[in-house]
Amino acid sequence: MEKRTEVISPVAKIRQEFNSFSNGTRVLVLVGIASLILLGVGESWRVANELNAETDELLVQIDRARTAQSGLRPAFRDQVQSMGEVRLPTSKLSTIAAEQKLYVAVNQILERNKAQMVAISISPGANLPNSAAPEIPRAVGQKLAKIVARLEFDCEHTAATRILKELELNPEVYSITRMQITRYDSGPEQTRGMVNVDITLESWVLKNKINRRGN
Amino acid sequence: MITLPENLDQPYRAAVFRALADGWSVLLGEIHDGKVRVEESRTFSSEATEQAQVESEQESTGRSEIDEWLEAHGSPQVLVLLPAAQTISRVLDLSDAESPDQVDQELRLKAESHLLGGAPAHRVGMAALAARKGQPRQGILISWPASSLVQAPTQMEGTFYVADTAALLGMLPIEPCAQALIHADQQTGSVAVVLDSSDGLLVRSTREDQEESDSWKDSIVRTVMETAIAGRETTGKVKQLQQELEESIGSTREWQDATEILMVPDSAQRHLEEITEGSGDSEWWKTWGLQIGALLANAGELKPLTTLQLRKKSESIGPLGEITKNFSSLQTMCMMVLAVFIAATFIPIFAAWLRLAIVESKVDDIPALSASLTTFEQQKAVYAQMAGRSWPMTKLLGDLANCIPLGIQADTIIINEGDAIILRGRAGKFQGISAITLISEAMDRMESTQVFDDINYTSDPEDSSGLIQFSITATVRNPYKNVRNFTQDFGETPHVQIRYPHAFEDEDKGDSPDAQELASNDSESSPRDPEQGSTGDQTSIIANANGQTAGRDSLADSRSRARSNNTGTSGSARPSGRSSSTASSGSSSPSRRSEQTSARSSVGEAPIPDSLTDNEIAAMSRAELLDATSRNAKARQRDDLDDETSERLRVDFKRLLEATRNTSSGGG
Repeated sequence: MEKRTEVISPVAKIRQEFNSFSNGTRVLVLVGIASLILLGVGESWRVANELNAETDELLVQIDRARTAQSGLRPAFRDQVQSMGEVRLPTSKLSTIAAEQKLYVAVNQILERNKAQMVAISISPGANLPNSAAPEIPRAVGQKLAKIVARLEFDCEHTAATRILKELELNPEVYSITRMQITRYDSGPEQTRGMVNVDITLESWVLKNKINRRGN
Repeated sequence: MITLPENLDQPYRAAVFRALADGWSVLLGEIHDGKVRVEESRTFSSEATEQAQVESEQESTGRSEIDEWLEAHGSPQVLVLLPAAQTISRVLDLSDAESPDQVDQELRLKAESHLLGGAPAHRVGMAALAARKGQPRQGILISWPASSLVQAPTQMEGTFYVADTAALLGMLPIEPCAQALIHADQQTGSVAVVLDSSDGLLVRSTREDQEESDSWKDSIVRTVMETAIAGRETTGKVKQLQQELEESIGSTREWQDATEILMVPDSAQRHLEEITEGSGDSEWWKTWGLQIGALLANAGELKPLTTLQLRKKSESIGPLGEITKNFSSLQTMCMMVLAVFIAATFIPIFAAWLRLAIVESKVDDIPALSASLTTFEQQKAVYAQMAGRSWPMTKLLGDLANCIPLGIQADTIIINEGDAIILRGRAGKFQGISAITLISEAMDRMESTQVFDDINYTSDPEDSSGLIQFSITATVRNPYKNVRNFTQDFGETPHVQIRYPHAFEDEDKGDSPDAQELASNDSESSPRDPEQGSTGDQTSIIANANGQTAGRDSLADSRSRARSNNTGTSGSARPSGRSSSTASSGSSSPSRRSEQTSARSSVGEAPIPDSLTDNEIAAMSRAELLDATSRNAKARQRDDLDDETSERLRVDFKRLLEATRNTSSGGG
């Protein structure tokens, strides 16, 4: 006689299997299923929270961009317009490299305006206080420091102000701290309408603090 | 009886109503321990009932006398007998299945084939009869068409309607008796027949409308005969049945004047009388026997035949109950739990992702934006740090150069951050103005800029060539004062056009060469910016300074006048000729100064200048021409000008422009 096979659905099979468990096992199975559900929900909520945090961060950035322009003080605009852009001090730029860049920038400006350099000296200056420009990120042991360049050159009196302006607007030059312009009153320079310009420039770098052992 | 319950857990009580011509008859009975006990049997007249209803409405109770009677008797189950003429009765042959479920399924299938969905479920009753000795298993189907309407004796919930045939079946003995149970009512025309034949039961309900008593009784006999013949009874039995009926109905005095006939086999009648307490004689049974049968049918296995309802019972469970009912099934609950799980899992993620996508779509390059913002804030910090001590040297140089009048030659300029500025140079007599006056003029201008403060000077005696070596020192009060922004770039846009932006609209359309001429002239006389305006060319410095002197004269005058009234203003050593030089420079154009003063002092709209003659225009200097042009342009901005004045001002404006252009080209 042919054996009759009973066809049951998977759900019915699971229910049948579940019904065959003891009460304790049933409770364990139910607790396990509930835990899995809660874990799944919790994980999805965690991911959702991460996405929301990322969105909030973006919104903060957008808000910063929106308020950056409108929140500027008029004095700040005047300052930027008067002194030009500045290069930000970063850890990637050493003091020597900054001095070299400053030297190159000064040379280019003088050369472009056909000025004759009389003397130049670029040297590290004093450190700025720790409270200066806290927004600039600095590693442990790093400090903001100045580079001071003393520059003397001769040029035509028509070019002096232009050179000064180009120097002041150059990103490598933070400010001109001292300036003296003197008209030649004798010699061939007077004939050519030359003036002598003696200025002191200042730039900033991030300098690693060196301890007493020189490390 | 065929359906009498022997053992009921609880006593069963019911009130069986039957419609009369002028009211209702009701029998209240109780079945317990295989006995029927009649508690009360009475009638309600329709008038009394209606009167009671009216009174009840006046008392706002809304209850009839029947309702009150029922309530007084503990609200028993209410049964209402239906005339056979309003119902359809069928006998269904069933197989000998043993299982009640199988019997029930077979009964429903066969009933469905008879009904074919023609009657609503609440008006259909079906029941399987108990197996009887020597007879096949049978079932009874009773339907009450929806078109048949009856008046309900009460508005109480749970009222059931019982067909006459069902009541007759309730009186049927368990043992086959080969006799007929008949109920006929001439008033309603109903005839209900239950024929207990050898092959099983035959049930019929029909209508016979006969007004004559004899013909009505003949029709009853004929109906029973037809039923017997349809049930394939033998001819002998049919004739025997006919003879018995004709004898009992047509000949005996018992039913001679009756309009209602209830015939029950003697054996059944005896049994009924045995089990019924509180019943009466044979006349009582003729009146109340059918209601006893309905009571018995409702209490036993024929109950499904006695639960017909007038209207479908609507369950008022409310919205909450509806929801509870919908969710009461396990499958629905599981589906809902699954849906909630899916929603709780995926909706937060989807919502967060959607929000992020929307925000990201607003920014093209987020890393670039963050980097630029960081750079911006760092630069802002650097500028803030430098703001307190760094000076814009080129701008200060320009400010200083603009203050030096013609006749003064600067030899050395020293500016140190946080320190005094020093200007050393030589001054000589220029166009009749003494050197001291020129130096005083320079100091006045420096002070009027509000950039410099504490202005002092020292000088040597005049040498043989008439020159004075001098030195001016000053502090910087506000180094960032009067920083020109790009809208003040006179190289791009002339100053007059910046001040009066709408004054050149007409000229732009038709007289653009003149406007351009003025713009070019103006830009020539104005520095492109403070830095460019103070280039090392001393001549240009002085020219620029003179160009701006026109705009500053009035201010310098007022400042000098204020100083003359306030002798203790500063301890600075001032040249003695300063006030006179100021007066001389201010007196160069007294009429213009008064006009400027009046223009400045006017708070409302600009005054309308008088028309100038050609001679007057020819006599004016370039500065005066520019000033007149400005006043003209300002006046043309007024809204209240009539056409004539507007036209005159426009013509004057063109004449002034032309004169300005000629003056510039002529080196004036």
